[in-house]
Amino acid sequence: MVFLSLSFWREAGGAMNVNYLSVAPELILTVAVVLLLMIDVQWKPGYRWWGIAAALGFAGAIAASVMQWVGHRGEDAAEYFRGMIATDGFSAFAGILIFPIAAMALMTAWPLVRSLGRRGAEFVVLVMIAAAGAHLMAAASNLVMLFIALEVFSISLYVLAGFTRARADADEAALKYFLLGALASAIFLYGIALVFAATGTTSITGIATFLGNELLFRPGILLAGIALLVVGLGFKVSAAPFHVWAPDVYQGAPGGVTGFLAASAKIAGFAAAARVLTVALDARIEDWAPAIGVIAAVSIVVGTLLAIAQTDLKRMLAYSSVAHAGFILTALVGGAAGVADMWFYVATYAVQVVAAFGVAAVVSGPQQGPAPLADYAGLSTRSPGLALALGLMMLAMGGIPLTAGFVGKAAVFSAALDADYLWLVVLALVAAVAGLFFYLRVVVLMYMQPAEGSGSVPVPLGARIVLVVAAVVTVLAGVVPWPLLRWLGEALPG
Amino acid sequence: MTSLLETLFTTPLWSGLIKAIAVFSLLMLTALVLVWFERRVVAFMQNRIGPNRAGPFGILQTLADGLKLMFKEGIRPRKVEVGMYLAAPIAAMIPAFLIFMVVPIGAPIHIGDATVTLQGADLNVGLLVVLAKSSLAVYSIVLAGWASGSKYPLLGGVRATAQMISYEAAMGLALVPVVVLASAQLAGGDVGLGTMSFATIVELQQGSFRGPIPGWFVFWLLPSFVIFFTAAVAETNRAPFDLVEAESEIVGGYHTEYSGFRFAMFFLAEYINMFNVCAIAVTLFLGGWLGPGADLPYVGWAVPIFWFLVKTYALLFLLVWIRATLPRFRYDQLMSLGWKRLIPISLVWLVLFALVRAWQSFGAPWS
Amino acid sequence: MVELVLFVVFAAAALFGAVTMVWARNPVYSAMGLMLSMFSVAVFYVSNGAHFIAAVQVIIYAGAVMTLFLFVIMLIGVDKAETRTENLPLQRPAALGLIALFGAGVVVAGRSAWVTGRTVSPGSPIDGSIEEVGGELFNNWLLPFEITALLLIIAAAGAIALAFFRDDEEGDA
Repeated sequence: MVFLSLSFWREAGGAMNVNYLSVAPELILTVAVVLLLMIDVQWKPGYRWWGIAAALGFAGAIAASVMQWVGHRGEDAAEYFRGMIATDGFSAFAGILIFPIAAMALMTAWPLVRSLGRRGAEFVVLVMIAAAGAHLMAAASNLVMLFIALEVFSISLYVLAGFTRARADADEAALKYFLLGALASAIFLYGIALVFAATGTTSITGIATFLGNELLFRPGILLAGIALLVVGLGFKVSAAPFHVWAPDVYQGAPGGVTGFLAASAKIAGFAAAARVLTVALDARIEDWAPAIGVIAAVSIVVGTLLAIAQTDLKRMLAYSSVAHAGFILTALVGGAAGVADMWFYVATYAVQVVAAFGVAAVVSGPQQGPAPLADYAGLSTRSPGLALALGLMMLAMGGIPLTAGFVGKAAVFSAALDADYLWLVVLALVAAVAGLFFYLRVVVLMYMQPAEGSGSVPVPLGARIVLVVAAVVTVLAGVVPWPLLRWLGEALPG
Repeated sequence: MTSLLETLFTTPLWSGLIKAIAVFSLLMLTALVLVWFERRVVAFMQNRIGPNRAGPFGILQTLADGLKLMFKEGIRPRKVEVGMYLAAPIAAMIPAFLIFMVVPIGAPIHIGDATVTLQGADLNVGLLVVLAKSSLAVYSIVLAGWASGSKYPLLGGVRATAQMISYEAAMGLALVPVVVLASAQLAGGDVGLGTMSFATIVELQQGSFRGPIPGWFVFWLLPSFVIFFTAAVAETNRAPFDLVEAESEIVGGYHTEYSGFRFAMFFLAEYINMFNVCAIAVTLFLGGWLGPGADLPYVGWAVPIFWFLVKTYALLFLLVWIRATLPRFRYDQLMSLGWKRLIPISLVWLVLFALVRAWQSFGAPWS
Repeated sequence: MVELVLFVVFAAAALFGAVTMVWARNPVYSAMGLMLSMFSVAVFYVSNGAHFIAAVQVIIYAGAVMTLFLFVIMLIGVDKAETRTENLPLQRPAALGLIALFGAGVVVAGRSAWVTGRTVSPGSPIDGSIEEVGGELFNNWLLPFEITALLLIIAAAGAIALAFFRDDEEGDA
C-alpha cells in the first residue's frame, strides 16, 4: 500500500510521527509470522520452512535492534508514534538480548516443535510474537502501550505453557498461569488508571515531567497506583509474594517452553519495571525504593529456602528464579544508577536459565513437564557434555567466581550499597551462600552418584549449539565482564 | 399562535412518542400485509392459489390467523425455565421494533414552521445502532431454545448463535464501504469526515451515477449490496438459511415448544425483521425514499414514502422468491459460505474500494 | 431530570445484573446478568455523549461476546447448576473481611480531597463522536491500535493450537 500516493503517506506519517526503524523488529517479526502462516496453510512445507521463517525473522529483528543501538543510544534517543515508543539504548539493548534468547529457546524446543505435527507452526509463531511483545514492553514509553505489549507477550506465553495438552499438568500450568496472569494484568491496568488519575497523562516522560514539577501534598492516588503497578510487574518477574504460580507453571510447561518463559519474562518484566520506576516515577523514588527493597528481600529468602526443599529440577529452578528476581530487584533500589547492573544480571541470568532448561528438555524429553532430580544422578557418565553444561549453569547461578553469575551479583550488590541498602545486601549475601547448597547438590548428583539409567542421552543439534553458546557467554562474561559492563552503561532509557 | 400539530411535532417528548407509535403501527400493519404477501407469492410460484377467502384477495387472512393465535391456549411444557421462557418472545420483539427507528421512510415534511423528519431518530451512529440491535436479536432465539428444556429447541438455539455471529461479521464488513463512499460523497471527492447517519446517507444518493442512472450507492457498491443482502437473509433466519427452525431436521427449532400468542410474537418478529433488513438495504444502497415526483402539489409529501415502500416491497419480493426457489443449506455449507466466501470477499472488496477512493482523493501513486 | 431517571434506572439494572452474574446458580442466568450489566453501562455512555463507545459496547460485549458465552455454556451442558460447598473453610469469612476492609478504605479515601493532574473544566461536554474517536485512534494512538493486530494473530493461532489438539497427534513428527 506504500506505493499509493507516497506524498500523502509521507505527510500523514510525519503528522503521526512515524518512524519505521523504531518498530522495525516488530515489523520484521510480524511479516515473518504472516508469511510463515500463509505459506504453511497453502503449501504445507512443514517444519523446515518454519525454521527458515523463524530464523529470518529473528535475524532481521536482531539486525534492526543493532541498527537502533548504533543510531539511537545515548544522546540520539527519541520517541516516536506520538510518544508511544522510545528508541534508545535501553530498548535497543533489550532487543539485542531478547531476540537471540528467543531464538536459542526455540532451538532447544525444536524437538518439541517437530513432535507437535501441524500445530508446530503455531508454536513457532507464538514464540516469535511473544518475543516481539517482550521487546515492545521494553520500548514502550506510554503506559497504555506498555499494557498492550504486556498482553501480547503474556497471552502468547499462556498458550505456549499449555501446548502439550496430552499431559494434565500442562493444562493445569496453562490455566493457572492464565488465571493468575489475567488477574495481574487487571491489577496492572488499575495501577495505570490510578497513575493517570494522579498525573493526568499516561506518557512515561509526561509522568516524569509532571512529578518533577509538581509537589503532590496528598499523593494517595499516585501511591496506590504505584503499588498496583509494582504488583503487576512483580507477578511477571515472579517476585515473592507474587510468585505462587511459578513452580507449577515451570514444572508443568513442556521442557522446551519453560526456558523461554523464564528468560523472556525476566527480561521484559525487568525492562518494563526499570523504565516505569526509574524514568516515570523517578521523582518518587523515596516512596517506591523501600517497597522494592522489601520485595527483593522476601523474594530472595522465600526463593532460596523453598528451592532447598525441591526434588524436581524444574521446580527448583522456579524457586531459584524467584530468588534471582529478588537479586535483580536489589539493583533497582538504587534507582536509575542501578539500571546497567540490572541489565548485566538479567542478561547473564537469561542465558543461564535458557541453557539450564535446555538441559532439562534434553534429559526428560521436550514434551515432558516434571524433571525429577533422580534423573540427573550420574549424568556425567551418561552424557559428559550435558553434565558439564548444567554444572556450569548451576555454578553460575550460585554465583561462583569466574562465572557471569558472580559478576552479576557483585554488580547488583554494589548498586544497592551505593543506595545505602546495607541490610538488603547482607541478607542477600547470606541467602546466596545458602543457595549454593541446592545448586551444588545438582552438581554432586551428576558427578558423584552412580547412574541409574544406562545408555547415553542423545543431544539434538539445536540444544548442542545453545549449550555451547551459553557456556561460552557465561564464562566470558565472568572472566572479562568489562566490555559488557561498559556497553551496558549506554543501555539506559533516553 | 402555533397550531396544535406544530406544538406536537416540535416538543421532543411528544414528537418522540408520536413517532414511536407511528413506527409501531406501521410495523404491525406491515407484518400483517407481509405474511399475506408471502403466502400469495409463494402460492403463485408453486402454482397454487393461496389464501383468498378472508377479505378482498384474502388480505384479512393474517388478521384472522393472528386472532386465532391470540385466543389459543398457551401450552407451557413442564420442564421449561419459566422466566427465560416467558421473556424470550418479548426479547424477540424489542430489537425488531427498535431497528426500524433509525430508518427514514420519507423526505422531511414541513408543517407550518416546523420540520418533521419521517424517521424515529437520526443518530450519528445510525449504522452501528443497526448492527448493535441486530446483534441483540439473537438472544431471543438462543434463550427460547435453551429455556424450552428440550433437545430440538436447544439445537436450534445453538445453530442460531453460530449462524448469526458468523453472518453479522460479513454484514458489518459489507457496510464499511458504504461509510467510505459516504465520506467521499460528503466531501465532494476530497478527503473528509464521513457519516453514519441514515438521513445523510440517503441525501448523499441524490444526483446521478452516470447520465440518467441515479446516484444510488448500489451502482458503486454492487458486491457490498449482494453480500449485505445475503447476510441479511441469514440474519433473519429465512430460507435458504433457516437451519434454526429447519422443520425437516429439528421439528421447529427454537419455537418448537411455543404456542398461542407467544409463538405469534416470534412469528411477528421474524416478519418485521424481514421488512427491516429490506428497508435498511433500500436506505443504504437503493437511494431510500429518493425518486421522481416529490415536488407534485398536494401529494408531494407522500411520494417519497411511496417510493420507499415500492423499493422495499421489491426487495421483499426478491426475498420471497429466494425462499420459494432455493433449497436449504447444509450446516457446514452455511458456515463455509459465511467464513470462507462472504467474509474474505468483503474484505478484499473493502481494500480494493478503499484503494480506488484513495486514488481519487489523493491522486495517482506516481503524482 | 430525564438524565437522572435514566441513571437511577440503569444503575439499578447494572447492579442487579452484576449481582445476578455472581449469584445465579445457573450459568445461563449469570451470562444474562452480565449482558444486562453491560447494556446498562452502554446507556451511561450514551448519556455522557459517547455514542460511538456505546454502540461498540453493545455490538461487541452485549452482542458478540455474551452470545459466544451462551454458545459455550450450551455446548458444555447447561443443566449443571453450581454446587456451593466450599472446600476452604476460611475462604468465605476472609472474603467478607476483605470486602469490609475495602469498603472502609473506600470510605476513608472518599472523605479526603485528592490532588490530580487532570485539569478539565467541569461541565465541558466531551465529544465522543466517531470523528473524535477516529481522530484520536489513528493519530495519537496509532501504534497501540496496530499492535492489537498482534493480539488477534495470537488469538487465532492460540485457539487453533489448543483446539486442534488430537491425542494421536502427539509423538509423530
